[in-house]
Amino acid sequence: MIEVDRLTKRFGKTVAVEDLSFRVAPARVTGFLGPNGAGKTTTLKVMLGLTRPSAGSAAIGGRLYRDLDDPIRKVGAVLETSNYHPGRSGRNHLRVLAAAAGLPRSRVEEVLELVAMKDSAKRRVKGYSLGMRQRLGLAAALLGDPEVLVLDEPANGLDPAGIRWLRDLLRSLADQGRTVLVSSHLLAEMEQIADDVVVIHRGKFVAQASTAELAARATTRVRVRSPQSERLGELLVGRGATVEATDGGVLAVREASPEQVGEVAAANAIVLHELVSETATLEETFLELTGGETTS
Amino acid sequence: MKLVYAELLKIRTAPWTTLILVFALLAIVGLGAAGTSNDANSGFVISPESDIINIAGIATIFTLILGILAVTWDYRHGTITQTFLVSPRRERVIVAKLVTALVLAALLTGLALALALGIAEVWLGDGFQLTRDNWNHAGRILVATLLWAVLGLGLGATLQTQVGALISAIVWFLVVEFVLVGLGSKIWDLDQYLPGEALREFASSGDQGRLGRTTAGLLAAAYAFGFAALGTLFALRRDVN
Repeated sequence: MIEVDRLTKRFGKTVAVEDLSFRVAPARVTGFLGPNGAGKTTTLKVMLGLTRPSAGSAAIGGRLYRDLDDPIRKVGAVLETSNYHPGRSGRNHLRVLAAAAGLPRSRVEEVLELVAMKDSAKRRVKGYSLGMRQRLGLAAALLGDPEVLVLDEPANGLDPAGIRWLRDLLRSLADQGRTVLVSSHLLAEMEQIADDVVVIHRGKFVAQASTAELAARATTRVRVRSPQSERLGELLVGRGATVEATDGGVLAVREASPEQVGEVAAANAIVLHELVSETATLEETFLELTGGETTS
Repeated sequence: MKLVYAELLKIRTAPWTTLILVFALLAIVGLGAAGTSNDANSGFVISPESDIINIAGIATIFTLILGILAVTWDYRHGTITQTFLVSPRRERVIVAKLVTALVLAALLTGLALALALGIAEVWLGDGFQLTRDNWNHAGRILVATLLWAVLGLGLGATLQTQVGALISAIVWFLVVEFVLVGLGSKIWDLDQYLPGEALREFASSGDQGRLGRTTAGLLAAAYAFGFAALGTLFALRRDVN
C-alpha cells in the first residue's frame, strides 16, 4: 500500500506537485498517468526518499522510504534517472547492487533469468538498446523480491512484444499480491497494463478510477454529416446539445442521442448523409481530463 | 561493511580501474623522483633516505583526486540514484565511500613508499639506513595522503560534479594558493594557514617550519574533516536529480 498525502513539492518558484493525495492498493497494477512534466517523476522521487517534499508526505506501508529497515526487500524501483556506468556489464551492475543490499549472488542470476537477459548480461551496458536498459532496470528492481514496485515509464523503448512481456510480468507480480505502481505519459499503454489509473496534470490530482470505470465514463458523442449542417447545428444547440463543427459538414454532437438528432433532422426536413454514435477512446477521455494537452 | 564491499566491487568491475591505479603508482614514483632530484639539484638535500621518502609526498595529489572520484563518479554516471535507493541513509553511503577511498589511498601511498625504498635499497645497498626519523617522516606522508583523500571526498560531495570538483581542486592548489602564498607571506604570514601549506609543513622532513608540525597537521586535518562534514551535509540535504 502506497499513500501519498497532500504532497507538495516546489523547486524555487515552480510548483512541480501541488497538494496531491492518492492511494495505491496492493494486488493491482496502478497506472500513474499524466502528460510529460505533470509531476510524476517528482512524486515518485519523494516516495523513494530521493527528493524532500516541501509539504505533505508519501509513505509506503505506513513508513517513509528512508525509515524502511531493508528498503530493497520492501520496494523495488526503476526511475527514469536510474542510470548505469557504461563500461560495466549488466551482470556486474546487478552484483554491485546485490552486494550493497547483502543479497546473494545467486539472486542476480535469478533476476537475469526473470527479465530474459541471461545472454546479454556479460556485455557492457553502453552496447544495450533502450529496451535492454529497461529490462536491466526491472531486474534491479526485482533483486530484493519486493512487495512494492515503483516503475517510472518502464514501457519506454520497448517494442510491442516487449510491452506484452512487461504486461504479463506486471500482471503476475500483482497476482502474487504485490503493489505495482507504473507511471506513463501514454494512456494507450496503461489501457493494456493497468487495473487502476491515477491521473495528474500540472502537479495536481485529476482523477482516480479503475481502467474499466474510466472507459465507462468516456463520453459518447454523435457524429452527423449533412449538407445543411449549419442549420442542423443551430437547431440542436437550441435543444441544449453541444455541437462542434468540423470540416465537410460534419458535426460532433454531445448531450444528444442519435435518435434525438435523427428526429430533429426529420422534423426540419434536413438531409443526413451520416449518423453514427461514437464512444470516445480512453485516450480522448484522458485528453479531456488533462485539458486537451497532448500527451507526448 | 556491505556498502564498503559494494564500493570496492564498483571500482573493480569498471573497466581500466586497476590499470589506472598501477599507472598512478608509477606516476607517483616517477614524478616524485623527478621533483626530489630537482630539489636536490637546488641544494635541498637533507639525506638520501629522507629524499627517497619524499618521493611519496606527491601522492597527496593523487589521493585528493581519488577522494573526489570516489563520490563524484557515482553522481556523474547517475548511479547515485540506485546507490541511495539501496541505502537511503545517505550518511552510510558517504562513510562507505570514505573507507574505500582511505583503503585505496593507504594502498597507493604504501606501495609508492615500498617501491621507492625498495629501489633505493637495491641501488644504494648498505649505505642506505632508515632511522626512526625517517620512519616518522614516512608515517606523516601516509597520514597526509589519507587526509587529502578525506578532503577530496568532502569537496566531491559538496560540489557533486566531477569536472567541477577536479577543476576547483587543481585551480586552488596550483593557482590560487600559489598566488595567495605570495601575498600572504607579506601580510602577517597568513600563507602558512592555507590548506596546501599546512599539509606541506606537516609532511616535510628536516627542520620544523613556522607553525610547528603538530599544529600544521591539526590544521590540515581540520580542513579535510571540515570539508567532509560540509560534503556529508550537502549529500544528505540535496535532492537527487
